Amino acid sequence: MENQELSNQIKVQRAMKNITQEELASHIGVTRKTINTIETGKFVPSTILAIKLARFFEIKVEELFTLVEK
Amino acid sequence: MIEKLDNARSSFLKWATVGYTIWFGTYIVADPFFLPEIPSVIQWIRILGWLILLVSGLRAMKLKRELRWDKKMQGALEGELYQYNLRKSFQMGFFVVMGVTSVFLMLSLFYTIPALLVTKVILYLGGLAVLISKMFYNRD
Repeated sequence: MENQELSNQIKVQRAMKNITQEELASHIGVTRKTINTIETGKFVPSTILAIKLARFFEIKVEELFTLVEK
Repeated sequence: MIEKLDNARSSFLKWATVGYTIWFGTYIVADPFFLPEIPSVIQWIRILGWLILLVSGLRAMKLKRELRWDKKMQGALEGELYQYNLRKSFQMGFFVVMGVTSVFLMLSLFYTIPALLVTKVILYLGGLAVLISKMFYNRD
């Protein structure tokens, strides 16, 4: 578990939808800093927030967030 | 709007840290252990620090009142990242308080230090650790 980390596709999905971190934050109801720290892997979101993000991008949570070996 | 309020909050947190550092700092610098009489310049600096802290506190209260009527905004501004950083900041404050207390405990084996000064220093550094670490975790 310690040699695994959470990777995410938020940046890719944002690019596909052509929206900024601020716009995404506004849709989800969080601050831009929250999106930024999740995107850069500094902050691991709660399940609720992960589901909200996945729903917004219309993909599965495990497609948006994946566990990768360090 | 969320961004604007978040930036405003970061700004008054910085000013609150400055105000607290100056205001409480003067109580340590001008402690009878160091200075038998409080020079008037320190009193003026203390008032300045207190005013900065007061303005920051009023701004924080204003924001809190505004958020009370807007649950969506409150949810965004006091979301999970905010709560997470707040917990980490208080954790840092706790470690600093424990560390400084341990240092004073060791020093007390060799020196006589007034209890009031020790209390002031522990409170000062503990509070400062919370504020500084909050600013640190809050940065982009």
